[in-house]
Amino acid sequence: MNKGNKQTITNKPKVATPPVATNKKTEKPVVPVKNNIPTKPVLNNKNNTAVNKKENEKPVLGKKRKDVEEEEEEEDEEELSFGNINEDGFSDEDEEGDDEEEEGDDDEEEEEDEEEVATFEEDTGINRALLENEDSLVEYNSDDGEEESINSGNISSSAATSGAEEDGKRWSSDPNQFYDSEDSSEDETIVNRIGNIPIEWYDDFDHIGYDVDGNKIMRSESTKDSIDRFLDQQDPNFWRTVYDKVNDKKVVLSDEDMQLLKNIQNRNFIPGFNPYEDWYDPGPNPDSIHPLHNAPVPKRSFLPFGTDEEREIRRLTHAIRMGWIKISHKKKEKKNNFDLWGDGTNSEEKQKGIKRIPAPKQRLPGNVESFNPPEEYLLTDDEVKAWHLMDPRERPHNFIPQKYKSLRQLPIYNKLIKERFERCLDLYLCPRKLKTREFIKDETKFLPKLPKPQDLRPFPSHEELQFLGHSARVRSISISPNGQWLASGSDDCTIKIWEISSTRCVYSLKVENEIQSVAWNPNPLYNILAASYSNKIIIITPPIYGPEQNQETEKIITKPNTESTSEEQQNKSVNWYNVTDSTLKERGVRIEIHHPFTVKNLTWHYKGDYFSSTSPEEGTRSVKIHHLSKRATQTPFRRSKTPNQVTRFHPSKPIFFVADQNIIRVYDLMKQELIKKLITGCRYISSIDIHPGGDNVIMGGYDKRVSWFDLDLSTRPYKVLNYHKMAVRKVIYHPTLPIFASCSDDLSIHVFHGMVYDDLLQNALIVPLKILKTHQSVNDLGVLDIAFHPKQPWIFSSGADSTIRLYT
Amino acid sequence: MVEKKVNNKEESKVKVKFITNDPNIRVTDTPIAVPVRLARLGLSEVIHHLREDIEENSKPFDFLINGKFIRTTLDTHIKNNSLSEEDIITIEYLEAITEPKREKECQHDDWVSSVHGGNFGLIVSGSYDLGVRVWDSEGNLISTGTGHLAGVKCVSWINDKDNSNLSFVSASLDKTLRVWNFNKEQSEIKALAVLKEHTGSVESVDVSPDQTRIVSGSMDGTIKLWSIKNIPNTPAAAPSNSSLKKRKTTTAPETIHEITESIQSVSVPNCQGITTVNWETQFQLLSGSMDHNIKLWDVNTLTQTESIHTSSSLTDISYTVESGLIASAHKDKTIRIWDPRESDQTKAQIQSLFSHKTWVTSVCWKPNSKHHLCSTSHDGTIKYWDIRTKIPFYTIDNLEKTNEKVLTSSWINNNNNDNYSIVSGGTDSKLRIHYNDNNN
Repeated sequence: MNKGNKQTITNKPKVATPPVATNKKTEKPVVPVKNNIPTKPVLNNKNNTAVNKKENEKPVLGKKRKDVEEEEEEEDEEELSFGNINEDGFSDEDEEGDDEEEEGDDDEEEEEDEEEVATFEEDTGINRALLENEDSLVEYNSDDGEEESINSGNISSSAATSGAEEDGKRWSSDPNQFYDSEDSSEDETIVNRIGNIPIEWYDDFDHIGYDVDGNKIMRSESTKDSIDRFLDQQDPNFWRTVYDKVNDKKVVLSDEDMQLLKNIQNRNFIPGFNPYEDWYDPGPNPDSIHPLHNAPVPKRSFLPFGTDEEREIRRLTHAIRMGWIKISHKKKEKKNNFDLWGDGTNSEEKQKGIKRIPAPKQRLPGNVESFNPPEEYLLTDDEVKAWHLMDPRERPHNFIPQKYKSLRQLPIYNKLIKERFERCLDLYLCPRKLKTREFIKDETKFLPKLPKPQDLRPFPSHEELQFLGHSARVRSISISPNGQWLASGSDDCTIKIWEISSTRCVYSLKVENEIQSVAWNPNPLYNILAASYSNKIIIITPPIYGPEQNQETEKIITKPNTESTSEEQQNKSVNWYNVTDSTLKERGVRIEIHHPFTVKNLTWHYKGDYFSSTSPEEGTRSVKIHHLSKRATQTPFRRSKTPNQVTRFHPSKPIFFVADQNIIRVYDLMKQELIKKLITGCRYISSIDIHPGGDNVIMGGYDKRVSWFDLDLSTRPYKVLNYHKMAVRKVIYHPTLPIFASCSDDLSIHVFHGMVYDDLLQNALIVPLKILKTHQSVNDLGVLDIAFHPKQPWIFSSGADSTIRLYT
Repeated sequence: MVEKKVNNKEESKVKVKFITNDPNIRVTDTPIAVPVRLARLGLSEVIHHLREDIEENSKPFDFLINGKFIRTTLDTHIKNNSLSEEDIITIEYLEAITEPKREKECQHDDWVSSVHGGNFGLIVSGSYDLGVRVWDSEGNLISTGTGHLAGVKCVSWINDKDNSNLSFVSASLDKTLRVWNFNKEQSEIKALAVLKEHTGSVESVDVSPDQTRIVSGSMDGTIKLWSIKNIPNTPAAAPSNSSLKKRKTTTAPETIHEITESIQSVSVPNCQGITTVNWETQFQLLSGSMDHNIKLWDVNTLTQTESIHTSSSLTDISYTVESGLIASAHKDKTIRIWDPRESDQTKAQIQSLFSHKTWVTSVCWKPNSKHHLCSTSHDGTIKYWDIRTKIPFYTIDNLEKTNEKVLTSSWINNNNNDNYSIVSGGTDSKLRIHYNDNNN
């Protein structure tokens, strides 16, 4: 029921019913809604309600059914309630266009209603509910103190129907208002108020209904007997008298009515009705069955009454009404005036967008600028000459003051175009835009995040020991596999072996020529050192542990008897000789391998049976692989285009790395095929080394660069390190620790952290750790060779200053 | 003297009580007030005053408060150690150790790689010239023995109870150890036996406290125990009772035992070479290796009982039975003092002594001393330490300028009293005995 109430209120605008004259607040002209609209039949009203309800809310439909039942069963009550309404004289409230305050009122009232509904819903008796509800309605309206009107088409229709909840109904306490809609001639007659019910129901009673005050209207006409009827025929107006069944009355039709009837009979228009009148749109018809728009029913309408938002609104409106919240209706005054002479910096409103520097304030014009300056401002001839001689920037004014008698005599300003142009140039070239410069306190945050070198310990950081004894540049050094001995080969034609822990030179061998390369056999079982000088490679078993060698060394070094013939056939250029000289033999020199050209580089296979040598002067056949136990030599590449410089064996697989001047080639020794070709971009490779994992290669070149190759990644360098200032002599990986180093003629040894991850997706991490620079330069040569200790984080370096240094 | 100063200035004073262990220098233990600005010298004067010494060159003293040496004024020391000036401070004092004044040089043919001074006034030294030499405490060469095929790396006396029949053992780069007999009467060194089993150079050797076994550590990563019970004491007796051991008669003109089997051997994995071994107590021996670990071994089973991980490679280990501490010399210039009884690794290191400029080559506790030790280094210096202070008591640095290295050190007691002198050897090919008495 309450919903109905609410709808009544909310639907008002749709009806567009102007309020009744009694409405004090709006004071709008009293225009009864349905006056203009032809009177509806009683039954139509029901449809009307239904339609309106359909339009508004679904739950109302149930209510309508209830109404019908009520009508059927409780006519008496209904009558009574209507009467009550009329007596109390409450009026409908205004339409929605009203002030907010009123709406607030409505809200509050609705709230009360809601409470009542809550109680009523518990009652099962429909009658009672109806009654109570109507009472509440009465209360509500009377509380409001506003007048409402029922604007029904005629008395009967208005009486007939659906009660307070019906849409479009206007309630009015003013009887005049009520009867306004009726014919004035019927003012005095008593009107039956039974509503839209079959009149037959009263057939058994001696009254035909009730008047507006609830008194019975007694039968008069129908009780007449036939004599009376006959007597009535005597009446001259009998022929035009009709019986009104509802009111049980005889009505004499007037001339106008007769005329109307005649017109109907003759199928003519009612006099005074203009069928060809101009049609006008009366606006949305509240009675229209079909909606004019197809908008979906808002979701909100399905929600149960009273969301949090509504409550909040109600609370606020209540507070406003009670005066707890005061709303100031003062609008902010717009400033229409501004400081014309201000520089614009103090304006309260901050400018959006580009911040501009205010223009410098111009000096106000003085007397000099005047067209009629005082005499003392005018320049004399000398001063004019001086003005012309002056640098334009030093002139006090960029014009010569001139005197005119009147403003009219002023010539046109001849520099106008030029000045405009310069002004535009100024604006273009130095716009007064405030540039916000970012002050970067910590520039290091732009650097890539690398771990700190301190966290990457251990690595060699300072010079610890020097091995002194050589008298010329030390070209090559090598550390024994157990990390106890250091072998060095020098330009003073000696090979020396040092005990690392005491820097003691325990062995020294003098040969005929400068030592090119020394290399310990990497197998810890063997005590074998290979060295190359001029065109010879010598295999030494140094007597560092005494003259006797262990069995393994002896076994591999002694010449096998069987294969002597084949060996000679295989190679003509390279010859193996047993050393027969007793003095040399005493010094541990066991085998000499003679080459046609100078052997520059020596490198051992990790198992210690094979070693490879390069002699770049030999050109296309520069690389040789020697098999120590068989005393055999192979020349694997016979047709290489460029002389190969450096070779390396893969640390665990039968893979062989050969570098010529600018390309590193990777060969599979088992399949005897080229696997990869690393394009270094280097002009002259000096040294390469293979990571102990085998998948990464570093290369150093005489053109100062060090390149890191990831074989899985690309044939191009993964990283190029251009830190050396002079030719890079040697690059090496640490056999066990994630360190690599490079040495150069600029006397420095660069130590890097080079972590290779097992995860193939993660690239190697390269962090520069330390620059070691203690060697001295001799003839522009710096550090010639470096070597890592096999286990400790120690690096040994040999330089042109004939020293060998250990950094720990 | 003190009172005079007090009169001059109004100074804050503390009440101190002097105590000492040495009865010769003991003074009254009644608390006396001394000014707080006094340092070592001032306190020494107080002691002299109390002892009524009138000698001009009376010895200086060193002072300790709660086991810490006073190296600043009393005032700062009290502040730094947050002591209370209200209490009576007990100051322990002892005679200051002064730098040795006299030095004896004993020429070798090559670098002196190892030296060991016994407690009977004799020094044995090993050299890279392949020889071993015995010297008396005055630095006179008694005898030379040869036989090693490569440089001698370590020597150690085997003490006999009656000192009549002396022998010593030497370890060498030629992967062998040799046991030698030193005949005092004939002033002769004769090789008794050669111990061959190592596959790398033998870096270190030590003798068990009961003088029956030898421990050796080698660069091949093994520690081996050898029994010397069956080696005859005299080389003359060797041929007769060599029934158990193989005789090597073919090569050597002089018949010596060849022992090719150690009684116990353990290989330390990943140790990169044992550089030092030490056997001071009967049931426990120590080893130090290149992989930064000090390991403690149970002698009977030769199983590792404990391992101390240090931050650098070991070069030498010394153990003192007096206080049960280990001193280790490292290649990171540091000497570290460990207490092996502490189970917690972090607590085990109780002191680190840092003053050398490069690798420390040897460290040696002073016999019968709880606190004193000497160390040598590649920087050519010998330093004398008290582990209660981080500053060495004195430094012998006459080799520093010549870029020579000191490789080894040991203690020798001359005159059979408690007076010990440092013996050192290095790359200057000289054995140096540093006497700290001035009268001889």
